[in-house]
Amino acid sequence: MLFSTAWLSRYVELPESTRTLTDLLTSCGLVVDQVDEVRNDTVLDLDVASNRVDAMNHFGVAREIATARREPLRPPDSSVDETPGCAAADLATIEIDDPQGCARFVARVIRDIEVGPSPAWMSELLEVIGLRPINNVVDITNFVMWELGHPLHAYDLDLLAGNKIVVRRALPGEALQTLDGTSRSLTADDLVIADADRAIGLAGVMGGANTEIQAGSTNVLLEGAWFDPQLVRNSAQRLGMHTDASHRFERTLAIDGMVAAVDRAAALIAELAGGEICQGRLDEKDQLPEPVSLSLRSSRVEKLLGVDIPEGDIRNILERLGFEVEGASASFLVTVPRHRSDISREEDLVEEVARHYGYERLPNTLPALRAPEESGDPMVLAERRLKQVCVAAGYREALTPSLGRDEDQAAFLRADDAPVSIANPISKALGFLRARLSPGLLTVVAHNVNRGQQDVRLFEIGNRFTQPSEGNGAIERKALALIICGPGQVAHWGESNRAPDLFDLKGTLEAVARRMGWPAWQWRAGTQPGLEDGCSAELLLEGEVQGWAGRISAEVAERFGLALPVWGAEIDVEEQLARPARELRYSPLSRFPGGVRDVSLQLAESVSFDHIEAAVTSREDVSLAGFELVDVYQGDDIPSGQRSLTLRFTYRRDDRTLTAEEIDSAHQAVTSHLLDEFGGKQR
Amino acid sequence: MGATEGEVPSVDQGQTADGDPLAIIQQLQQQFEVEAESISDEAELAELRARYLGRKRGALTAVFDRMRSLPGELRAQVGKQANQARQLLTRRLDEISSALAEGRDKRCDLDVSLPGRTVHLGSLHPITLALQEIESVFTRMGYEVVEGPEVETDWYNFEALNIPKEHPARDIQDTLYLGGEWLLRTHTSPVQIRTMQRRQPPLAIIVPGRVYRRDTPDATHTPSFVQCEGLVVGPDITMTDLKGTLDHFAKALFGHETRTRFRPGYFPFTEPSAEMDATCPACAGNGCRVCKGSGWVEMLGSGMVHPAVFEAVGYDPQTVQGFAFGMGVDRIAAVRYGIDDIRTLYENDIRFLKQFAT
Repeated sequence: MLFSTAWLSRYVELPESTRTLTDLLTSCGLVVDQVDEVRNDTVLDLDVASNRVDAMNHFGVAREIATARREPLRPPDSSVDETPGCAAADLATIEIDDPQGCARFVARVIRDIEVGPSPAWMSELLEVIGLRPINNVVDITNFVMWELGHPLHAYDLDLLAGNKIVVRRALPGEALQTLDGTSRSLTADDLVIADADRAIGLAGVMGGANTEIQAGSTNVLLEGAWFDPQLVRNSAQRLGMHTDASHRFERTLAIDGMVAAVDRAAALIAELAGGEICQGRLDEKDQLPEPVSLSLRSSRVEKLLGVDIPEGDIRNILERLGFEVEGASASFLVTVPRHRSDISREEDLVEEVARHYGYERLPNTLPALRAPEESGDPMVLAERRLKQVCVAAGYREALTPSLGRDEDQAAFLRADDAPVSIANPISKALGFLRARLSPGLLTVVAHNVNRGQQDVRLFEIGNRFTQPSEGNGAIERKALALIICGPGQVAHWGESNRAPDLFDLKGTLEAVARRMGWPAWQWRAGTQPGLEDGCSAELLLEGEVQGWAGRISAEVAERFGLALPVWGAEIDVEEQLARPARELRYSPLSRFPGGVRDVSLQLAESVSFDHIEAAVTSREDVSLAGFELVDVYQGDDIPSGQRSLTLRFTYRRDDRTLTAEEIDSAHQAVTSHLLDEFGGKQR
Repeated sequence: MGATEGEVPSVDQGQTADGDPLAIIQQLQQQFEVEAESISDEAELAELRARYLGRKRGALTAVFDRMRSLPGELRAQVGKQANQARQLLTRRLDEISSALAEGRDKRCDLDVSLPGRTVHLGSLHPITLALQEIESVFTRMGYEVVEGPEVETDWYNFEALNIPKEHPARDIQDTLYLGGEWLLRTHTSPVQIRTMQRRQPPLAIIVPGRVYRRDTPDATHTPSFVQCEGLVVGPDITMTDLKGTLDHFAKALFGHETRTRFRPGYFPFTEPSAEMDATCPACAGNGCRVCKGSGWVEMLGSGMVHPAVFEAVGYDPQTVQGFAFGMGVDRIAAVRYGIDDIRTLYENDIRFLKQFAT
């Protein structure tokens, strides 16, 4: 919002330097975004908070400056020199049909004016703040709005049918051509100013073309009103009209602000456009609400701010800002001026005192806080650990947008997963909340591959959203997604690369489960939307499917513009993250040496490794301390449909040393057990 | 330091034709042992072998050559001795050769300037790194990290935070709605409401998480971004505590020389409200592109919790008070790491992510 310093200086003595002025304004809450020299004037672009409609005009800003500088404030002259022999009430009547929409309507009539250009001083002030001068009467209404803050409107009285103003809701099918030349169709939600026949203005937003002041207009009806903020906002929003007037009406103007504004404008019209001000101010209103009175305890000021501000300072600040202060500091009785519609509680007064006492004068202290037992929610801490484990496994963290296209999600969704749509999306491309993280990661993979970076190894942890089976809202659960692709990273100039595959993902997820202290996921071959059949697995926990891993199907990869094989995994980890952190406990180490024996078994391909694992772990042999798979072999010397698995068993006891014979015999027993159970032969 | 060829005793030179061949062999063996002691490389070893066993000039070879002219019994005796000597010398030469080979291995001969075997480390996203720094400053002061849902109700996101239905901050342009009372939270403040409902004061929490605004993506806006808010509630928490805490935070994050500036602001859920600027970390407050020449960067919004917020959660605003603050983590990361387009953060270009692989 632009303000002219020349204009401000009409009401208050400004500091010599612009820098001092901008610092002062910033420290009382009017941030100066920009300073421009325009003609001989310095123009300030102020960021006025949306609740400070009182400071959206030059006099209001001057009031802040006067308070901050402890300088006198000089209000503009609003005295009106009425011409005897003509009474406004005889020339026009005001009728308010909707008193909730329009709580007050004030008008004056000025006769025999001459419409012409504004004097240079006024045109210049308007121009430097970006307004285009139109004619003296219209310019005066704008000038007064930017001077005192209350929007005004001038009608050509001679064009008012029935010399009558009616404030009412628009009629069904009613239309109005506004001053910008656009024809607007109105509804019963719009409050209009009308004459006896038709709408002549959209209340609080813009006047109508049909009663516009033009060259040749001689009699003026000047309006200053109070319209309901919500009605004005609704109309402005629905019609896409954001005007200087609507901006102010939406923010709750003073119920008495129009009186001085109408008088000031009438006086200026008489002065600059000639004419005579008719006697009497038309003022249609219900009982006005009492001004707000609040008690302010200096003890409350001290309790909230942490410093004791002298009683005299409190009183002085509030009075300069227009508050009436009575009583003593134990409990001041403060009457809030009507232009401060933002003040309704004691704390609001504390802020006023603090603003002008100066935030910078408050000392810096640190509160004495309790020492928490944990640095956060267990789930939050678990997620932080999970990220660290993924990083340790060599994955880079990606953060991808939560909003995207339905079609991108669809490829990975099962029939019963419905993504959540946005009711008022920014665009079609941002119309849905993600139900899966993988589409976002695939977009990242494509971004990188297209830039020649084919080796991608990423993870993301984030919320996924699906529709609940009934009602609105969303089911929101944390998931972990991994994605890998590329020819494989070469670690050394003397070595060759290896392309990643499913077992990279599996190894990572096994390590994740171990390190997090979670039970391992069971891997089961299965088909998955978005994955290549035969190259994908379901991940289960206690029989429940938690996620999947596998190769992204060629079709889906192509959708993201990817031609190379991409492997991914995505798992719901909501419940795992909620598990209590693993208790660390020491178990004594065996003091006795162990022995290692390998065996190669030629088995049918249909014997899956997890069956062998189950058979081995089912053995109740205290000397069997561990086993691992060291080789899988299929070659010319193995019949088709079979494969050779080499298993390595470790034998050790905690209570004594095993003899070579004992180890051999235990090994023989395991071997026989496996051959008995799965057939095949020892190689 | 091998012996020179001239010093090698020879049948011709060292002895006359009638010299004792057996003595010569013995002498050759002794001489060989002396010379073998000083062999230090392969070249000297080859030279030594040639001088004693070489086909043309080997000293022992010459004994064999001359043997043929000796009488029968002596010839047999010399032949036996010469063969033994040849075996001995050959074995010694082999031993020296192995010793040299072993020594060569031990000596090691690497081009240490060749690059090392790459360890492919993972990395955290810069927003996570910035958030961890922020969290760390506050948890050191005794705050707890708390999170909550991204999909919220109107009441938690607005009503409870003193943003009534007709408030301009609720303009449909700003908020993404899901239907019914449900919306995507526009700040993480609903988590503060939920925490206050669940727990009694005193409490000190920070609340990071994704939030959503109906903003068209550009260099400074994304429709979803990460925010971190904080809340302290107790019987005596004051505005000076707010200032001291946040000033400390700015110094901890951007360096001890950082200065802060507090100015009045407006948020419906705090009163008094304050915006905090920090001296621009890019130019130390002298004015640059990052701070648009002002020397200050906007860092966070804050204020004393509005009594209406306490009333909404069932706290008595006459007996408890506190402060709250909130900042955009994306923005803090951008300022902290000198990133000029926020969208870069969500592209996840590997070259970009690598720069944060600490």
